[in-house]
Amino acid sequence: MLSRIRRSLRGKIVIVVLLTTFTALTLSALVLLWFEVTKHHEFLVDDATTQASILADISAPALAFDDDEAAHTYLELLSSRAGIRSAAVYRPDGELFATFAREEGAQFPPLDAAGMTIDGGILTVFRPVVQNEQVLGSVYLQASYDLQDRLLAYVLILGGVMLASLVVAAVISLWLAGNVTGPLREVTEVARHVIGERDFTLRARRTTEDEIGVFVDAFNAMLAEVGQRAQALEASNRALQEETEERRLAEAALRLADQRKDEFLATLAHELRNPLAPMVNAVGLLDAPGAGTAIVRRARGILRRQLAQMVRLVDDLLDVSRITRGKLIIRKHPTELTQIVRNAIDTARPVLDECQQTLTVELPDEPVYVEADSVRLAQVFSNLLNNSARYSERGKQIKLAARVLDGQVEVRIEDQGVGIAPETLPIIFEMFSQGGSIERTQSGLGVGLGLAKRLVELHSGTIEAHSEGIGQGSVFTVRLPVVPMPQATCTPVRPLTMATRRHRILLVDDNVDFATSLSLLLEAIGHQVRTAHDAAEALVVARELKPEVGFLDLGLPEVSGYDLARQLRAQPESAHTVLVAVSGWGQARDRERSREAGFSLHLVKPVELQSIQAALSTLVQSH
Amino acid sequence: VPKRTRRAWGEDMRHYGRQRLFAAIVAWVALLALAGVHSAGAQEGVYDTNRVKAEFLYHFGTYIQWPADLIEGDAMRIAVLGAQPVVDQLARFLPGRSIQGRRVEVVPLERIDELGDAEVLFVGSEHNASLESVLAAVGRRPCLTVTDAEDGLERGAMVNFQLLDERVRFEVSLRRAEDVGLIVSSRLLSTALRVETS
Repeated sequence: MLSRIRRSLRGKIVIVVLLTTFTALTLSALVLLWFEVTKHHEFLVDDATTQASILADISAPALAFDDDEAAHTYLELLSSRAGIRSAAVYRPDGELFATFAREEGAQFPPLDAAGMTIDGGILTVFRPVVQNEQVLGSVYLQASYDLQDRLLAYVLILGGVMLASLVVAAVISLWLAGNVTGPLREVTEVARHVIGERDFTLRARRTTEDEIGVFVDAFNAMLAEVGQRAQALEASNRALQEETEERRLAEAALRLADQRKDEFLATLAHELRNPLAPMVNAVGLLDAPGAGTAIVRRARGILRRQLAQMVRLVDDLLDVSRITRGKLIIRKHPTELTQIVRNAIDTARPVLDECQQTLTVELPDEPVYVEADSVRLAQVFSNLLNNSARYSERGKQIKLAARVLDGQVEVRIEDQGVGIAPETLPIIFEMFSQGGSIERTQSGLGVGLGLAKRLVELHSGTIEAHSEGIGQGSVFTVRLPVVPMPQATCTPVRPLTMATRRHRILLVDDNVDFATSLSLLLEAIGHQVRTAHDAAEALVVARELKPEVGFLDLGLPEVSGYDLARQLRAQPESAHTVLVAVSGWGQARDRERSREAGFSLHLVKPVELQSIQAALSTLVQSH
Repeated sequence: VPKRTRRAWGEDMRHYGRQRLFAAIVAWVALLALAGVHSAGAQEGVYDTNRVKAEFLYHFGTYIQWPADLIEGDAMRIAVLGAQPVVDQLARFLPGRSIQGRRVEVVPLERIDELGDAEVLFVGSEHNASLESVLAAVGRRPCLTVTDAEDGLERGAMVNFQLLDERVRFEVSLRRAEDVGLIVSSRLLSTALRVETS
C-alpha cells in the first residue's frame, strides 16, 4: 500500500502536503503552547498580585479605622472572581482581621512574609498593607493556579485543530494532486496507447496553462513529428513495394512478349515456308515435259493462291510493323460501306472457296457512308472473313450482316467454327496471339485480328469478339460511325480505266517479276513502258525512250537509286523526266533523302497500280 | 520643601507601586518596632479608646487633603483641646510616623485661640458644653474639626467620634469639610459610621 502510494505522483504530493502541514502545525502548536503557558502564568500571577494590591489598598482605611466589617465587605467582592479560593486580611500582629472563603472550612495560614508561592495548582500571595510607610496589616490571597488544566485544554484544542487541518489538507492536496496528476495521467495514457497501437494520430488533451500544459504541447508536437516520419517511411516503403511490383509486372510482360516473339518467329517461318512447297510443286508441273493445258492451269491456280497467301502474309507483317512504329497512314474519305464490304469479300473469296464455305451477306438497302480509307477498312473485313474461314471446318456457314443502329453501322461476321475459349477472349485482339488448340496448317501469323482492331480504332470504331465457348462458333462485331452522304461525286475507288494520255514510262527494278508485271499492267491501260533491271541498262533505255516519268527502285544492285537519279538527270534525254522513288523504306529520313536526290515523289512498296495512276495524273499535269 | 499639590499627591499614589520593595522593608522595620513598643507599653488585648482615638486622628490626615496654599512648614499639626489622655497617646504614637512624607506633631491647646494653622483640631469631651463657641472660634479655617460628643456633628463638627459596641467609630459631615476647602477621600467615608452630605 505504502509502496504503491510512493510510486504514484499523486500519493507523493499528498504525502508532501500532509507532512508539510503536520510539521507547520506542530511547530506553530508548540510555539503557541509555550506562549500560552508563559502568558497564562504571567496572567495568573499578575492577576493574583493585582488583586492582592487592590485588596491591600482598599483594606487600608478599614485597617486604619479598625473597621473589620468594611474589610469583610471588600473581601466579599472577591466572590465574583472565580479564580480566588480564599482571601484574608491580617492585623500586623498576625491576628485575622477579616476572611473570605469560597468553600466551607477553609484554612488560613499564619501570617507570612510578603511574596508569592505556587504549589500544587494553588497560588498564594501575601501582601502587606502599607500606609504612610507604616504597615497596617497584610492581605492574603489564595487563587487556583489552573495552568495544567489550561494546558490540557489547549493541547486538546490544538490536537483537534491539527486533526481537522490534516483532514482538510488531505482533501485539498488530493484535489490539487488530481489537478496536477490528471493531465499527466492523460499524457501517460496517450503515450501507452501510442506505444501499444502505433497510432501517432492520438493527441493528449491540454487542460492547463502551466508547465504541464507546455509539456502536453511538446508531447503532441513530438507525436506529430514522429507520426510524420513514420508516415513518410511507410509511404516510401509502399512506393518501393509498388515500384518493385511494377518492375515485376513489366518483367513478366517483357518475358511474355519475348516468348510471343519467339513463337511468332517460329510461326512466321512456318507460314512463309508453307506456300513454298505447293509452289515448288506447281513450278515442277509447269516444267514437266508434256504438261497439258489442264495441268498448266492447275499449276497456275496453285501458284496464284499460294502467292496471294504469301503476299497477304507479308502485307500484314508490313502493316503490323507500320502500326507498331506509328507509321501507318490512313487517308479517310466518306466512303460507301457496301463497296468496301464487297471488296473485302472479293479479297477473301479464294480462301472461302478453298474451304468450301458458304457466305451469306445481308447489307442495308440504303447506301451507308463511313469516313474511311477504303483499302484499309476492306482489309479489316477481309481479315475477319479469312479468320472465320480459317477457323471453321469445311462446308460450314459464314454470315456477314450489316445494319445501321443509333448513328453507327454494325457489321457482324458470324461463323460456326471452333469458337473461342473464354480465357482467350480477352486477349484475342493482341498481336501474335492465336487460339492455342488450332492446328498450324489452319493458323495465320496471329496478327490478323490485332491488325483489324488497330485499323478499326484508326477509323474511330470498335471491334468485339463473342463466343459461347470452344466449338460454339464466334461472332465479331465492328461498329463504325456513320457520316452523311458526301455532296461531291468523289469516287472513292478509282476504277481501272484507260489512261487519258499515253505516257512514256521507265520502270527500273531489279525484281524482274515486279517490273514485268507492272509494265504489263501499265501497257494494258495504254502507256508506253520500258523496263530496266540495273542502272547501266536504265541509262541506255532512258537515252532511247526519253521517258516522261521514271519509277526507280532505290535498292538497286551496284548503283543505288539515288545515284541513278543523278545520272539520269545528267544526260539530256532524261534531264526533265519526272522521277518517282519506289522503296521498301518510307520513313521521313528516306523521303527527305530521295527528295534531295531529285525525286518528285516517294512511293512505298508494295506499289499498287492505283497509286501509280494517281502519281501519273498529278505529276505529269503539273509539268 | 516640596510643594504638595493635588497633582503631586496623585503621582505619589501612582509611584507607590515602584516603591513597594522599599515600603515592604520599611514596613517590616516598622512592624518589628511596633511589636516591640506594643509588648513594652500597652497592655496586651486591652481596648483603649484614647489610644484608638489618637490613631484615628493620625489616620484622618491620610484621607484628607488640605488646600495646597495653606500648607506651610514641614510638619502636620494635630491640635488637641483638652483630652490629655489622647494627647499622651498621640505623643507616644506619633514619633517616627509621617503623613505623605510630613512629620506629624501633636499640639496640646489650653485655649482655642492657640489653634493657629493646625490642620486637625480635636476638641476633648470636657469642652462639649462650649462646643459651639470653640468651633465658631475655628471659623472658616481649613482645619478638620473633630469632636467627641453625642451630637458633635449637629453642633458644627466635621468629624465626630461615637462609641458603638464598645468600639470607637466616627461620623463625617462632608458638607462642612468641603465648605472650608477640605477634600475628604471616599475611602475614609466608606469606613465612617455616618456621612452627612449637603
